[in-house]
Amino acid sequence: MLEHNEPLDQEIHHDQENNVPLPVGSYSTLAQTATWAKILAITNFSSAGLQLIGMFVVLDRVRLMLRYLNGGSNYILLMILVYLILISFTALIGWHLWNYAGRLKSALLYEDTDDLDLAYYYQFRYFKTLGWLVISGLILMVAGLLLFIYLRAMIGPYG
Amino acid sequence: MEQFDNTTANDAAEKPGLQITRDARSFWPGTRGWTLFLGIASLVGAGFIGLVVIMLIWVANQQHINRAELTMVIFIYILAFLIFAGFGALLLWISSRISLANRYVHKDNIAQYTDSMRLYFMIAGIISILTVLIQVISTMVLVGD
Repeated sequence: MLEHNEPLDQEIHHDQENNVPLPVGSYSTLAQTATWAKILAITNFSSAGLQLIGMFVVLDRVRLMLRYLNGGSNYILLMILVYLILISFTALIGWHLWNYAGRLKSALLYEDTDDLDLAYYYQFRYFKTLGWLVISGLILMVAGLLLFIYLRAMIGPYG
Repeated sequence: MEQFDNTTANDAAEKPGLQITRDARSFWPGTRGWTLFLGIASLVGAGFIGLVVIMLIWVANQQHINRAELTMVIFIYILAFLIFAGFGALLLWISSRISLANRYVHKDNIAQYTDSMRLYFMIAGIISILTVLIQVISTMVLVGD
């Protein structure tokens, strides 16, 4: 059993020491990935733009509702901050995806290994930004819940 | 001209094709960690949505609520549950593929990693197109009100 494993271990060790050629079948798979990543980037940019329009509309409504409340402008500023955080994250994710798709296409077109390295870098940045978006979303949700409890205590359930 | 053709032919013959370098592999552990985190977060989110569905069904049985409206709400929640659960499972699968490719740097494992990423971006792309369409409609309704 050990004799069977030895060449395999050596082969793995050899692979880890040197660069590994990309499997031939992966070329078309990466091309499809690049196309979908570009579509995802465009939808993210569109989503950021729509969120910006939505922000102005919602803020206008909230401004009217908070007209008779003291310190209403503070809540509007808070809402702007929340919206800007979400819009920034969405645009940043779109930017990483755009770069990822671009580098991947370039790597496949010119068979440039440096571009492939960068593609993996942007892939990492994309997932990292997505992770931080989730963490920020959780923090904002908890903060929103606390603010809701505070406002309910201040104004009352029928206020 | 002849010399140029020879040079081009030699370049083509010597070209090793695309290679996975040490630099590229240095990003894999980070990507694996974040996909694992996102996968777990997605499954936890699916769990919460599942609880909301159970609660809605319980409320519907207890009180007299418009069945058609509630069925629609439950349907949307079940759809969200499936999306979150599906993405969670997919991200955990990607994480395991990256882990395998990073540990045993072999062309078969790299191919599996590449393929799992293609599936992820394809599904995420389709869902994001639908999401943007819904967002466009809701923004138009919001502006029109």
